[in-house]
Amino acid sequence: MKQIKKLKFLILFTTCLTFLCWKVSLVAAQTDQASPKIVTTFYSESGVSLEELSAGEIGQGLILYYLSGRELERPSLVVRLYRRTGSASSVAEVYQAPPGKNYVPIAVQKNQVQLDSILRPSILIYTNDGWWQKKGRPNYNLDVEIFGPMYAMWGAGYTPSDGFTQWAARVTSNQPTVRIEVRDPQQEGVPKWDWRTLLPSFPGQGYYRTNYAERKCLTPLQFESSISPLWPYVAQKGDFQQPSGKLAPPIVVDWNAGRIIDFSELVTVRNQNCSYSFYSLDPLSPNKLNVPDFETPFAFYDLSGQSNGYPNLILRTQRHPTNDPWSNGIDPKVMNGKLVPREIEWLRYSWSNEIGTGQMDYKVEVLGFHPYNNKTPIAGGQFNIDAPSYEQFPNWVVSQNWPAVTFVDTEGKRYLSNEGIYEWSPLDLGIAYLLGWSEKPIDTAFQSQAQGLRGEYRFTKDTQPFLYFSPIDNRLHLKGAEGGLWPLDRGTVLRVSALNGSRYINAWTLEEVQNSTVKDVPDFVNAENSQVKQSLYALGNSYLIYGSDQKVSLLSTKYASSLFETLPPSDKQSWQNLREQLAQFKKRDPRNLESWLKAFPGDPLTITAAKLSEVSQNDNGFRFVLELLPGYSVNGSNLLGIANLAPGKYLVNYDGIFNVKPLTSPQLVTQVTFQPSLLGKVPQLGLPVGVSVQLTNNGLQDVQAVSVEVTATLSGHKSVPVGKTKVNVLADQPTKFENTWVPNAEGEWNIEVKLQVGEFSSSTSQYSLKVAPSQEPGMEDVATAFGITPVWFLPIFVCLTSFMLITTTILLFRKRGLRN
Amino acid sequence: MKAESKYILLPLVCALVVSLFWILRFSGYSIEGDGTRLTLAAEGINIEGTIATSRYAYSNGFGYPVLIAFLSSICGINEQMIQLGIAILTLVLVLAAFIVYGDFLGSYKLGAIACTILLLQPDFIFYILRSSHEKITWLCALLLIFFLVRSYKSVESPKKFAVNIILFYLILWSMICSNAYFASSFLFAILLSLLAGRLVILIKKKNIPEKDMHFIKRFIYPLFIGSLLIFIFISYLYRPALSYYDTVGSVINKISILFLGADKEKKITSYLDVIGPSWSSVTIYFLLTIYQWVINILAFGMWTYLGIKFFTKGVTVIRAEQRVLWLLYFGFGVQLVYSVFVDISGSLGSNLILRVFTPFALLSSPLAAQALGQITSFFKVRYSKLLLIGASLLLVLGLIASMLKSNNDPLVSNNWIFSTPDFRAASNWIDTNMKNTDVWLDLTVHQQDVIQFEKGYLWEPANQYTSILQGYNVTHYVLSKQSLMQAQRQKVSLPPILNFFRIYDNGNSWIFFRKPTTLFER
Repeated sequence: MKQIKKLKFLILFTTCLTFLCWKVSLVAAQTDQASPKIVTTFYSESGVSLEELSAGEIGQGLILYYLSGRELERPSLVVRLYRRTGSASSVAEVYQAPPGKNYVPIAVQKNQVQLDSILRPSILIYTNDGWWQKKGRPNYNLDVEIFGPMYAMWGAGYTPSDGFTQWAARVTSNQPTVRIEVRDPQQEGVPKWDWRTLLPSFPGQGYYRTNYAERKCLTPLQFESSISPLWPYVAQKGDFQQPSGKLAPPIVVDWNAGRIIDFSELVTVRNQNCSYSFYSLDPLSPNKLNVPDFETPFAFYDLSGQSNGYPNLILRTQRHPTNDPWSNGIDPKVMNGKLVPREIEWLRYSWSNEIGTGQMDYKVEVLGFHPYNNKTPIAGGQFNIDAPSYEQFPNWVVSQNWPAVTFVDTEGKRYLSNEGIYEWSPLDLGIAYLLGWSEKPIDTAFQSQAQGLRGEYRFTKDTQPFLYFSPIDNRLHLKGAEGGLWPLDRGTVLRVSALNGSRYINAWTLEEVQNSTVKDVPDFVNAENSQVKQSLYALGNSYLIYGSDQKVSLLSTKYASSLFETLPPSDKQSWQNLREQLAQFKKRDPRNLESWLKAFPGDPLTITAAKLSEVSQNDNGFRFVLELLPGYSVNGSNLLGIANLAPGKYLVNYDGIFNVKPLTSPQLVTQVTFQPSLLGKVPQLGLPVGVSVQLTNNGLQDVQAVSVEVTATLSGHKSVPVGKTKVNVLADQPTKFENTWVPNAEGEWNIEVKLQVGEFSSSTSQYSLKVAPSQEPGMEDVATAFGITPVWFLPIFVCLTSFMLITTTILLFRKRGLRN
Repeated sequence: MKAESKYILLPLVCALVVSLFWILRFSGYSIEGDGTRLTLAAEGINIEGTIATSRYAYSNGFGYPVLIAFLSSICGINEQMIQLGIAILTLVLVLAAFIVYGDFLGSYKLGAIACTILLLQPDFIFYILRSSHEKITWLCALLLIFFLVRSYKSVESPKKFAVNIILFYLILWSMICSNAYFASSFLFAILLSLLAGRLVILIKKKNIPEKDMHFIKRFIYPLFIGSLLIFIFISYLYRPALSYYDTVGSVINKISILFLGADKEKKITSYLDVIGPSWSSVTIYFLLTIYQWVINILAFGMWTYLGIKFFTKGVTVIRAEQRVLWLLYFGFGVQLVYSVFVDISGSLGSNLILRVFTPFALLSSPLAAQALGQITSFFKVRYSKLLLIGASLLLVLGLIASMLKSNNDPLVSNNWIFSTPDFRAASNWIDTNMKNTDVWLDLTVHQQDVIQFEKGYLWEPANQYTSILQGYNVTHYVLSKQSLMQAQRQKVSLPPILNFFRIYDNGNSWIFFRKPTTLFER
């Protein structure tokens, strides 16, 4: 028995060991594949050593990079270094495997290397300092020329399966593609700016033509070693982007294929504490004030001053100057070949309340039409651009008025991003609306949001992007926001809104959502179909009203609209202040709105078995509908005096004092007026007629979403649509619906106004309109061509013509007529 | 000949009358789309110093813009002024027609009548009077026919023959430079005439004179050489012509362009469709065009009469020139019938009937004049003073009808070819005071052409102008009393301007601004 147990243990142990060994070998193999072992050999062509060449001596030599185990004549990469006598600059020619081969074809004879005649350098690097490496510091005063496909600019792209994509897939092997200028003026071994230009013109293609990145503060850097320390530009492995807090050599090679994949950014745009960068679709020129478009500027700040490779404020712009030829790309379907008629930009202003770690906490995104009017020198003063400078930019953003703004709070959700918070851009309203080509924004704008993110929007006020701290929910809000949405989970959202155009959020509704899935965006929650479960209103700075399925509470208290107001942080001081202010308060529970009342002094009136609905605010106060269910009870302060009312629906109106009346049903009254055409006083065929529909509600109950449809019918003809809309008709406010209609026939028209409330209730009213025949131009209009020629012209001309022709005819034909 | 040359006075007086009427009727304010484009092309030639200008180059040929540029340079008058008075060149066409028709008909008296008849046809004179290339293109066509016939007559004299042939090809080259596609369609008509000639030879083999047989055979040379010249012109010499050809979609359209000289860019409703809705009274339309109908009936009758005579009594009973005329009438007639079908089908939508009618009228007029001569001699008409006064009055009526029709044609002439100073003032105001705005500028593109004409080659519009109501993001609307009348006449909708701000009003023209309802509308 014991032996069997031993055997079982042995089998199990052997199996586990085998599995473990297999796993280890698999990981080792993968590691080997990702970081293959590369060996280098140096062949001097002039007797000079690599150390001497690297230090700037005159001479020439070749560095050969081999995948470990490859034959002598099959290197994966070859670099020829040389410095000519009398020349201040050193040159490096970098060769990769030509198409169809996975090695660089060379011949080695008697210690001499002969490059195949078909080879052309894929990278040419010049340095005017003459040296490549001194005292362990690489030289980053480089001018680089790239030939053929290579990920050497943002917007290229490479995947091992598909190869190069975007513009890199459209260039030929030896075609000059990118020019790069990198500078390290103090020769500290850390490049300060990196300037890249795409060389092929690619007419009509929206590729980035300029990449620029400038280091704006010190980021502690870890230097990744290169394969050959004496020529420190070839990486063992890497990517186009530099990793955060690291500086890796720029040339990244697929060693098995012998192909150069990347010439990485040397000054990283995103992955350092501070940088001033831009990506423009237009190339730039010296000796003029350039107007770069698209992502200009793209700026990164460390407001803490203590970061370690991560910014904690990111400003990402999308900018299109007036008539920017690339602006059609904003939404080609809507733009339809048209260009933006005025400068437009939208800016993502994302920040973290903590020292940068990649986590983003808040975003304000603004959209507006402010032309840049600066002159900012870049690339060591070689070029000037019209964008605000790095130092000015945050303040430039927050100090201006913006007509469309969104705000997002990640509410502690893990949100790692090196470009800021993407969700909820003002652009979601639709470019047609934002350019003024459409009167209405996209229907679905701001109806869905990523789970866990709290978003707010405003697009009816043109003000600075102020934020304020609400004492009601103890949260930061966008001042002037019209509404907002916060999906707490897949089935619950907290919606906020500002009743009566208030500058402060005054309504919170906790809603249960159905069919919340958003196509292609799994993390998003669609809140279009929802049902209110709890609601809380803060009205007139003195009342808080809470409502749920079975309870209504009314608290008379005093509170401020906001505890503090601030602009998004734009420097260390404002960032620190906001951080400290926020730290003082504990956020309230978004799932229990009733609990919020407890934070305020006062004795609430609580009505059980009651419902709250149709809360609205007006200039004099507010009103709501209170439904008292059978068996209701009233506790606490006697604010409304409703203890003895019969169950039913009541309208509670507050205009300094409360007034409770039984609710009467809505009674809609329609009134139609016509405004005739430009010519004359009566409506006329072919000329526009104004059809104005006024709706008045004579009941006490408001009616929401009344569908109004106006049609015109001429006897014996089909109806013609005049206008259609949906309006809310409040009890005390008449609503007007203006239409313009062009009658296409004369006669007695019947104008019909159809109102539809909900699915079943509808009413129709009819009006008669007489349309007169069209007005023909008068004889004088015709004779004078609307006053161009004098009235006498035609008769005089006819008389003269007659005289001349009669005379000529008689003179010519009086003898023989037509006979010869 | 010398004795008969005085008869030129009649068509010259008529031509003077119609051209002056055209120029003065709207006090010089008449221009339309083609006229504008050709003016810009001419201005571009003078500014850039090249015939293939960087923009606005006339895609079908450079001949006419070069003429305007030349006249402008030597006269020191700007291209716009030259274009507004260019109708006077009709007199040159009449001079040429007089010689050609006199030669055709064997009588310069009848030639003068044929020229006069030409001017009684409104659908002909519209194209000749307006500021477009046709007056040069069809002058070339006339001369080509002349030299073709002359070469036939001078075949026995090699020297004369050579001179006529050289002149023929020089004129053909001029025509190609003026409009390569019209030249191509002209050659097609010649081809059809050649085929008709071959058919006649097949039928009446024995009775055809040797000279005619050779002539018909030789017809193939101008066709072949002409096609080659057109090919060289379009493909190598004048790039804008090739780019225009390349933009044409289907093969059928390409063939139609070569066959009929159709203009793809002009999306005008077919002429057959516009008579009803555009003329407030169809009766007036027919009254104004009655001469044209009568002339064409007479011409067709004469052609039939000659044909019958031709087949029954032998080919030689008709003069050689008339035999050529007879064949050419057939060729252009077939082209006209084809264009009717194309217009009915609407496949090109380019109002082809009118375009093909112009060269057809050049051939039908001498036939109609000959018919008149035949009729008067058949009835032995006595030419009393009263009769001559009556005939003169009829001529006056015909000319007036022709002038009124060509000047006021509401759709064919691109929707009232005049423009009022008030409307131009409004258009100028918006171009000066607004920027990057979508502006609705009247019901048709005519006003855009007018403003473009006025501003010239170097003008960069400050705004985007359109005449389309749907699909544009228009915020400003420019319209006039004239637009309202035109909208009512054509039963088209005006923009819903009633609730808009009226930001400009000069009594006759207005600019409306759509009320912004959002922060973003401007």
